[in-house]
Amino acid sequence: MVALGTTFSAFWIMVNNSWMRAPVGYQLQNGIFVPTDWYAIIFSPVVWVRFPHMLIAAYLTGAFCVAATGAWYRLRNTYAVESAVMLRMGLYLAAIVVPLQLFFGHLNGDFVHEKQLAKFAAIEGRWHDEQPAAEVVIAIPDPVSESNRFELKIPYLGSLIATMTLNSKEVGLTSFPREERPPVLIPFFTFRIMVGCGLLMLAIAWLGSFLLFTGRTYGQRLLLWATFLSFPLPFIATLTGWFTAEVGRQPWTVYGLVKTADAVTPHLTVAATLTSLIFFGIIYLLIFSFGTLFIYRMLKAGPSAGAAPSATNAKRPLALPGASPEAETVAAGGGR
Amino acid sequence: MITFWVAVLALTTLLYVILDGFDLGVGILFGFTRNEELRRKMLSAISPVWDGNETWLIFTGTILFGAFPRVYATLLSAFYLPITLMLGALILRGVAFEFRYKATSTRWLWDLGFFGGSLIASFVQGVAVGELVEGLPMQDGQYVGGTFGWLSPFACLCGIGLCFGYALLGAGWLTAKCEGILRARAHALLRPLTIGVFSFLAVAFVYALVLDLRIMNRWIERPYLLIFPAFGAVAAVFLVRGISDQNDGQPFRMTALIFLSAFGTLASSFWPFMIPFAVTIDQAAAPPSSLYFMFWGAGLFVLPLTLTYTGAVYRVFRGKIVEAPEEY
Repeated sequence: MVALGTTFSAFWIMVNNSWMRAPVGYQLQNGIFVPTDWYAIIFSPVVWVRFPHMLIAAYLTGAFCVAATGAWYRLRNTYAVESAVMLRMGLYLAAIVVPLQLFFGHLNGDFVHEKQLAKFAAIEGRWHDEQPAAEVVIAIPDPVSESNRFELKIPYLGSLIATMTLNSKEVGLTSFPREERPPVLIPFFTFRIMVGCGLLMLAIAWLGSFLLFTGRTYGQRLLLWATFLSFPLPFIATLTGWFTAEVGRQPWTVYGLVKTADAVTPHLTVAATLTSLIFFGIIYLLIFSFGTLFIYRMLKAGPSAGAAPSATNAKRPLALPGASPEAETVAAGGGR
Repeated sequence: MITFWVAVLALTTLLYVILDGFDLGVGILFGFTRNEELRRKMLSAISPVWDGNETWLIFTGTILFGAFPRVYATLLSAFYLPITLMLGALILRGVAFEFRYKATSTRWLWDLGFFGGSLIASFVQGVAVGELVEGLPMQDGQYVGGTFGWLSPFACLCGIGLCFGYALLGAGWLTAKCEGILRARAHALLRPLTIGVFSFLAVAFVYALVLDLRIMNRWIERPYLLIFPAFGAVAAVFLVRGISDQNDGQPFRMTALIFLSAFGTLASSFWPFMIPFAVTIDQAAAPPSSLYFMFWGAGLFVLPLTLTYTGAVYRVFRGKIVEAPEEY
């Protein structure tokens, strides 16, 4: 039930969010969007690329948290049986799912390339139209001079990634009026952090599965450490992915139709917004830092503690004593 | 289709007010004892149901969002800061159920969050209702009150009143669900809380007359409205009798009926407006295609499912709470 509920929740969030990026199946009547074709809205190709991308991200988060905990137990030489199962489940799942995720990520890029050219240009750090286009691996984009500093470029790769040809013309940011360009720095870097995390996860998942599968022990300890320390990677990748998506679509709320500046509540003051932001910041900081501490304590106590008397209230069915905290992580990832 | 969604909205709002009302009320009462054993029992009395109860708030919000987007937009903009505060309060209150048992040296913090969160959430809900009764500053269907347009003495009075009301519901719930000292303490609170609630109602009524609120004319325009307060008065009589008879279940049931009649009074004096004298139900409703779409999903499946689930939970956890061993 929990899994189904969170999946449905994630689905509708993605339908809504995808519609805002690529509006379909609607009519404008007196300045109000009226949905006319729900089939087009729900089965929009954008939804079916972005929803799997998010769902897989959530499963990956779960897989890496399980594997990292298993690696931690293995490093401490405790819970040999449990840690073996955790490592196997986590790493094998990740080894299959990470490449799938990269594939959906690529399809996602195709949608951005098709529908949100300005965002694509910002992610690529491409200021001027190019044919054939090069791929900027890393640089510091400078919005003032409309160019990149410390640029490392690979020729032709930009066209290849965008269209699978070597000679396509790719649009640069300067082809858009300044007021219709997204901020460049945030999507440019968050995208690279996301992809970097993805590649790191791929390396860990494949190497780890290889060792597990062949039973080799060479470099095992190093890899256990890497697996143990890898648990933040999927979280970072998910968050930076959302930053790329949300900042990259600025200045639009409904892409190409409603600007964020026009969508804001008229009487809302900066002070009120700032107050609410700081307020939520404090609350989340408080509950997440204590939550992490409590999960850490539970993990440290280990699986056998679940059978022993715990202080959890038995009349609360949703919080079974010793229930795996990993499941909660997946749920949190899915609902985001 | 609009009628269907108005009816569902009324049902979910009412369910929310009564169901989350008692567990918020227990949260308020929680702050008035330092006894760890009593606190544990208070939490046990609501922990199987509280999150299900809050689902009805989400349901209400969803219906406003999907079926009455204009009201949703207006209310969330008008009450920007208080709703932010309420969300924060509900978050702190929710995590407290889990965190207080995991915490070693910071239990006081989560207990404070549980009590404070319950109190603030109740207060904000009361303020919102009070402000709607008094009349939000609206012009041409748009909210024009600014950041603090919702803040008024009358609204704050209603906020305090609702805290008393929820506390009464909470005390009634504890009387029904618990035994021993806790039941005795909750039962002893019923009478003063009842007096508190009815003095609030009297003050609010006189205050509304003094302010000459437009909504008061409804009582003259629609005399049949009086049936709801009359119904509430009968429930009040039975409430007092239930308290004197040491009856366990009656106080909670009668308080719930009083809430029902208060809700009926408000809803029928608002009618046909959703935001009084500014936005009517028809103006607020989403286009028919959205309403139909929601009907096939949320209306036909999610609503009955949630109702069934709520019923099942209350059936499973019916009766007095079992005395749990100290460390469970």
